[in-house]
Amino acid sequence: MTAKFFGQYLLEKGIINREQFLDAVKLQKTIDQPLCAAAIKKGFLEDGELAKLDPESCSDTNFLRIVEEKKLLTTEQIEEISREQYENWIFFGEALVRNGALAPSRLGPLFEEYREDASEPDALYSSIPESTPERLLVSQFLKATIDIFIHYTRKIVRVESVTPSSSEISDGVYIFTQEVVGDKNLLFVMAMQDELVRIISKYMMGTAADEVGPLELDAVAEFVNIVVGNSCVKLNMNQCKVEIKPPQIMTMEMLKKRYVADAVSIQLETAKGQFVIEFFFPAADKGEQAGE
Amino acid sequence: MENETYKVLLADDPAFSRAMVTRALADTAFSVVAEAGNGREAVEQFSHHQPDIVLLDVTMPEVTGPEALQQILELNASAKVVMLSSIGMEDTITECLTIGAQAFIQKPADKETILQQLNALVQNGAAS
Repeated sequence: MTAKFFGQYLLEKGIINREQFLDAVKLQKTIDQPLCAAAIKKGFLEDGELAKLDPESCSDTNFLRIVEEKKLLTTEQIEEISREQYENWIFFGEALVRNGALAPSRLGPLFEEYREDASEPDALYSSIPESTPERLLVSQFLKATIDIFIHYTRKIVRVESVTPSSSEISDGVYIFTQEVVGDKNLLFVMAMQDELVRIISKYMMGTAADEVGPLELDAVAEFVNIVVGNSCVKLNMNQCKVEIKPPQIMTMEMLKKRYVADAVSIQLETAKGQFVIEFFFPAADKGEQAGE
Repeated sequence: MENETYKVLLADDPAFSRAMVTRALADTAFSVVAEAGNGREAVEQFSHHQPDIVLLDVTMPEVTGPEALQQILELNASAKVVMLSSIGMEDTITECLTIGAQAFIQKPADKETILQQLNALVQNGAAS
């Protein structure tokens, strides 16, 4: 199953409805305490101190970034408020039970079903090296790509290798979208060989095309859109706030002119042969310098 | 509900995505009477066609999905809107449901999931 958090899983299955979903979220918000509030409550920070630095400072992601940059809290203090937050956290399923939307006896089995559906074929990801740039982001994008590829092709894809790459860009289609992940503005580019474009568009559309026309390119852009969307969900589950813009297709010339970056190359073994997908995470400053 | 046909407005940025959903709904009780490629068009088409159900993507140009949702509900507070998106983040889903969407389908969505949600919507007035 593609990345989906528990509440969405229950909503789509029709086990809970819109009102029950929102009531559970509301209960979570009244009980769960953001880290900034915990720090103020414990006297580690003055009320209003953070707001002077950043109006959005009370999201946990921003809070941790600011306190680290400004050395506002010690490591022990951060650990203490994080531990307390976790201990008092009410999970979505528990909120449903407390609200009477779900019988306690159903929560465990449903969560197990959800976890089984969401389980990842770890062997496919074992090639993702530890040293790739922006490791968490790369691994999530790579996993989401594989998951979506499997979803559409229904065939197991073996990852042959995942290697850092510098400037080699494959011929074919380049699809990019801008992501704001935490405080990083990233450009995510997926480059695919023409043959892989044909295969993906065939699976997406259900029919084979002799040539890759506008609709086929649209299908591949949608493939990337779904990959990125699912990656965002996984990152979000890891407390990483993400914003996304719709993917666009870019020529190689435009890509090289505007963005030069470290890349990760993933070689896929499929029933149709071996293909390469490359991921680029350009440096933001290069993008600003090139400008348009 | 037997033999009844429901009018659907389909709003999604990629033409491919609209083509796939239209295909999925072919020969069902749900007939796509209008399409829109951005949020602004979605609101215009809603006003013109008054569909029974709106399938609305979250990430769209000109006017976003949530903004279009707000405007559609201002035109008709009883509008039944189902969000369709690859971005299934909790904040996004909560925002859309809070504004007034009845359901949220995360892509990739198969025909069965889409029909299940639409059938629940017309049977109960809500996706449950």
